[in-house]
Amino acid sequence: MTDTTKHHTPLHDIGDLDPEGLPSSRSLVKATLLAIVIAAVVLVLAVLPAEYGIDPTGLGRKMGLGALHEAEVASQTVTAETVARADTALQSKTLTLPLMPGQGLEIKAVMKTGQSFVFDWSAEGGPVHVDMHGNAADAAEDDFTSYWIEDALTGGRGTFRAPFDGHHGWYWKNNGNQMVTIKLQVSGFYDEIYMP
Amino acid sequence: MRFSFSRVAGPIMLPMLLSLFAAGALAHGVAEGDAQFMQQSSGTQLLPFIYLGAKHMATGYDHLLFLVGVIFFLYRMKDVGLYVSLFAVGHSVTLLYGVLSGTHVNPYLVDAIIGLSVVYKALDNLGAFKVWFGVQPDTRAAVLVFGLFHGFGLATKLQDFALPEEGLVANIIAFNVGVEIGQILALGAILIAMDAWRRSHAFARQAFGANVLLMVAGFVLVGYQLTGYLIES
Repeated sequence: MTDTTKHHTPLHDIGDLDPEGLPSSRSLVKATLLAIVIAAVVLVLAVLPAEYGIDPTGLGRKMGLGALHEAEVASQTVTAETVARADTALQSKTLTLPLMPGQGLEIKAVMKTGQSFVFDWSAEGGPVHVDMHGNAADAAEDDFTSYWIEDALTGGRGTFRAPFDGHHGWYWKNNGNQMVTIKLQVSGFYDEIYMP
Repeated sequence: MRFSFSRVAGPIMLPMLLSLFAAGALAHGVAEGDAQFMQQSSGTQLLPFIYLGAKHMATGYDHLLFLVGVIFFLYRMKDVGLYVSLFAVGHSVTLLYGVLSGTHVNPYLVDAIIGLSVVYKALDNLGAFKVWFGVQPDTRAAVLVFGLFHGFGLATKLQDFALPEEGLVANIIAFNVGVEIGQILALGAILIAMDAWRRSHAFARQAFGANVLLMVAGFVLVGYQLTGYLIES
């Protein structure tokens, strides 16, 4: 423990080490530019292909780095497909809807992208025209996406996953000349079910 | 007489250092199992949160880089302690504020700023600010500001986990105590390595290149995070 000089003269920067003092402004600018260039090369050749699958030179794929990103995407996709998280409670609704001859009626659920439910409906008294469809919350009146259209069905069941934020449901029309009763059961995740 | 940190703490610190790096450095996110613990924990759990804070600090490669820069010209454990405390104060302020107020800052931008801070510290070590602007910015202030940014980044990540309300403030403070402990461990370990390096005659020659390399790493972090920000938003 004879070396006491360092204790008395704390170092602040590289100028304290170098007998000739701080490096010149010119060499500092050169060093900084060099650092930026090396960093850019490392980013483009290695980091971006491996982390994001961005590979403008194609070298990332050749070096096998692209596989890192593909593996990560695959693992994320599996997780996302296995679980769709919901921030609403599980809901369940059973509706009985009478339809006079010639009458049409709509039932819709307010849903966010990825929310889903299982449904089962049946028409007692005869077949009905059905259009299962959805529209974005702020869409124009006739701007909607149809998922399932049939002219004469006495029932339908399945699962539905909202492809976009908005209102998703059914339009039924009784084209016969007898009264029909629609019985609808919906269980799953949605904000509310309403009759427009 | 010079305090010889390596002589006192070497036998304790070295295995710790090795296990830290063997554990695999994550960025300063939160490991999945730890996140699960935080969400399921109920009430005040001081020791587990202290542990998590220490682990968070000692395994994040981005702060380790910054700390290497900070310690490059620090010799005394007293100075190291001062920098650790400044960082912890900054970190605590924004972490508490962020979680309690529900402030959400984009984590990519926070991490890009952390990358910039590595560049900043490397330039500072090279004396660039003195040469270019004629002033030496206060490193203590820089470390405090870095702590403030860092706390915001972690607050954003913690909010994604829906932490239980009960005992939240006590747990966050415990986490920050852990951050302090983890930093002392990490800095102590880095100090040993730096000490050994500084004793060698080559140090003066290698210091310039080492800080340029530090700058490279900082720029890579910035580019990596900014690209993530552009892709995700």
